Amino acid sequence: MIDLTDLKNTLNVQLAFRLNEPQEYVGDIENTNNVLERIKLVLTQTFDALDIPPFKQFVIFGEGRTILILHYQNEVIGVVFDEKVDVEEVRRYIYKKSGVIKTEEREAVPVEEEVVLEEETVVKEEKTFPEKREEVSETDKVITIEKGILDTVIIEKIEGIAHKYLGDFSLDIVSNVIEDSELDRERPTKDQVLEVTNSLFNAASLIIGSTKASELEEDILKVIEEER
Amino acid sequence: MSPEAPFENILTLPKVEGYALVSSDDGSIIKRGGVTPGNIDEIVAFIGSAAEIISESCGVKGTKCIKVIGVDSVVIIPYNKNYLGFVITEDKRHIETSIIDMLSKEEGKARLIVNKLLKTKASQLNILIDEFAKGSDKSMWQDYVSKGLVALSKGSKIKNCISLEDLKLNVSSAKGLTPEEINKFMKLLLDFIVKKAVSEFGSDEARKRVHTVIKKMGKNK
Repeated sequence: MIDLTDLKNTLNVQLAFRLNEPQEYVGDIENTNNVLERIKLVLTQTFDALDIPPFKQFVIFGEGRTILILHYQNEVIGVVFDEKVDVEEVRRYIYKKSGVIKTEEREAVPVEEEVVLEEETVVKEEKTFPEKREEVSETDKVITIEKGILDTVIIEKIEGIAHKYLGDFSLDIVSNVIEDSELDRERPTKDQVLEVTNSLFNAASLIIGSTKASELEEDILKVIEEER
Repeated sequence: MSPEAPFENILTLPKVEGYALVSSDDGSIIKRGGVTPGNIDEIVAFIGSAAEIISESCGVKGTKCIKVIGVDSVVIIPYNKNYLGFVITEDKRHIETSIIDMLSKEEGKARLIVNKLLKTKASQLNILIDEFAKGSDKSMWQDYVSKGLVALSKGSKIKNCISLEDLKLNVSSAKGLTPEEINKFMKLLLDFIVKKAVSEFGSDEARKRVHTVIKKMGKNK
């Protein structure tokens, strides 16, 4: 569960709130409790009336300020911030802190880019992913590793998960989603695979509903992490 | 934002596949194009309206744009007191900015076309007024056309864009006007002027002068 105080202080946002239980907020705004109830009610009624699964992102670009509401896993987190702050940065930060994206480095590094990590950074990585320990020797002060590329087996695993949820249609759906994406089957990057996962979630929601589609998405995200 | 831009051109942007202009009053579709879900009117109107309430609740004023990513992903822009929704197939980074920028460009082009239309129509009517006023009481024509302008433009946005001076129609920027509004007004004014010419010169002479004007207009092209 994301720490709203940490979120507010790090991103210097005006208001951060959680709409799911335990409902809470950090920041300044009048009648915040009423405001949160109102927002929750409006969102619930809107998506109930439309009879479609809830949104993943709801962004309102106002004059001078932006409102971003994210719905992922079981959380609905909202943030109000200055328009100068990039929405993508805020979104990425929340996803990262919530575990939807594990590390910023992995998301940001482009394909085949070689990154030089200082010893301190490597130690930090080790704590999160101890299985990588053998890559770092005691004497190495600086190491160079290739980042971002996943094993091609990931595609097969995604197809397998899709088949579990979508049945016989799954291969066509996965093929279409991959064709529409920039995914390189021979050298898939994490960014590309995440993009495919997102598109697959959207396509699957239409067929099996958002709850099952979310499960499918979570299964794929787990596999992506395992492949690292 | 105005005048209405050709929204079809915005569908040339990557990942933008359809649009719907929806009334903010009753949620009815005013215009739609490209590929859109069957309930696009509800999606755009409900989300547009929900965003207004959320903005107001958070004390955020002047909604410029709304982006919702989900099963149906849309970018909604408040447009001439209505909602203009674009269906997107993927959340491309800053896609909303690309849409707004292109919409702005298209509006600029549309504004030029509308201004040109207003000027052309006014200059055509000026040739007609000149022809009818020849050998006739010019002050009577000035008074008549002036009254016509006031009566026909009452309550319309065109009122501030057109005036009569020395028996000549002058136009300023056609701000907020659509080609339809301009054509409709100019047709009314034309009929009003021709009616007077018929009563002044008889239908044969009036027709003759109208033909002279048509010839002149042909030369001007």
